[in-house]
Amino acid sequence: MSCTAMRKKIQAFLDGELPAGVAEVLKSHLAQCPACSQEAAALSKTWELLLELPDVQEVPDFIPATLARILADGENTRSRKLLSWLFPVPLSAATAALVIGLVIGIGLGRIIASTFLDRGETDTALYLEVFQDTPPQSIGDAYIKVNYAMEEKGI
Amino acid sequence: MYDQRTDFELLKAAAGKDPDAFRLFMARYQDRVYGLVCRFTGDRESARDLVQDIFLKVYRAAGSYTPDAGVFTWLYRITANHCINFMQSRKRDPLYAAEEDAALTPGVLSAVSRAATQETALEQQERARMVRRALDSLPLRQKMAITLLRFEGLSYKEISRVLECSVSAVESLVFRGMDALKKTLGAELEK
Ligand SMILES: [Zn+2]
Repeated sequence: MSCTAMRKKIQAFLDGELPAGVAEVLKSHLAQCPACSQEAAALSKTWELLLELPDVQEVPDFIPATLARILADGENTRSRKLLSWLFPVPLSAATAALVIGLVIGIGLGRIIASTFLDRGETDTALYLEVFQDTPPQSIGDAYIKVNYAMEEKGI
Repeated sequence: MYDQRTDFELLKAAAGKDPDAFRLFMARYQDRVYGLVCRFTGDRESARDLVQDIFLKVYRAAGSYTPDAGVFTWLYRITANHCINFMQSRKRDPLYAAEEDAALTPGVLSAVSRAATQETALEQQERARMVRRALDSLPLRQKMAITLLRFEGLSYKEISRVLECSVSAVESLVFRGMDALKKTLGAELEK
């Protein structure tokens, strides 16, 4: 092996990563070649210098924050699934926000209605009367669509 | 009480949406992951977010873990990929280019006490900063290979599994990285 070839192997030699045969050859070369042994010394020094980056201390506990994100992630996935089921076409962020708002609003509306109207079960059609003649693509129209969809899905 | 379940069992349970199993898994490995992220990025603030992001990925991927890859290899692979992607996108972000120097301050890492030498704390800090700067100037895969080798004690073979390349590719990454560090640090030390 030439010195150039040897030099490429010195680091692996220092890391103990060379097969025994090659390591032997390199070792005896280092013993008799001042240039290559100087190279080995410089690499060893560099290796030691890396330890100037001292130990990492005080590891924070990442568990609570990560688990909170995992739970939130689960909720988002459920909302996304509902959205993609309702609207197979991709929605803009604004539209998606509107739909989520509608879903929440309908839910709240049912709770309020069932509380104040004192009914055993909610009757969406009653609340929908207000929106009977909503123009297509309007919020009222979206409300009706979302509401029917939720009813059908039993949400 | 210590949970006797293996990592594989914990990951399987986590994949079945058992957050308690995942809590135990994290307790076992968060130190190692944080250590690697800090070493690689040199930035404690980013490391806090990155570790969470990484474990979120681990949770989502838990079902795809098979025990034929050691859990460390698998976890290191996710961590290494995430860190490399993060540094790549940060390099492209002009906001961070200006902050580069601030990130190099060894705030992450408290100085090793070296009572035996006459060095002042300031000199030690300066050397730490110099090493950090030299490491950060390396291409990301070289930096990761050297970080895994030097600080995590991985063999070339283990690194090849983490970085998904051949052992000779690892040898080349380490050789080129160490050669560059030797030149940079050698020049710095002679100043
Ligand atoms: Zn030689």
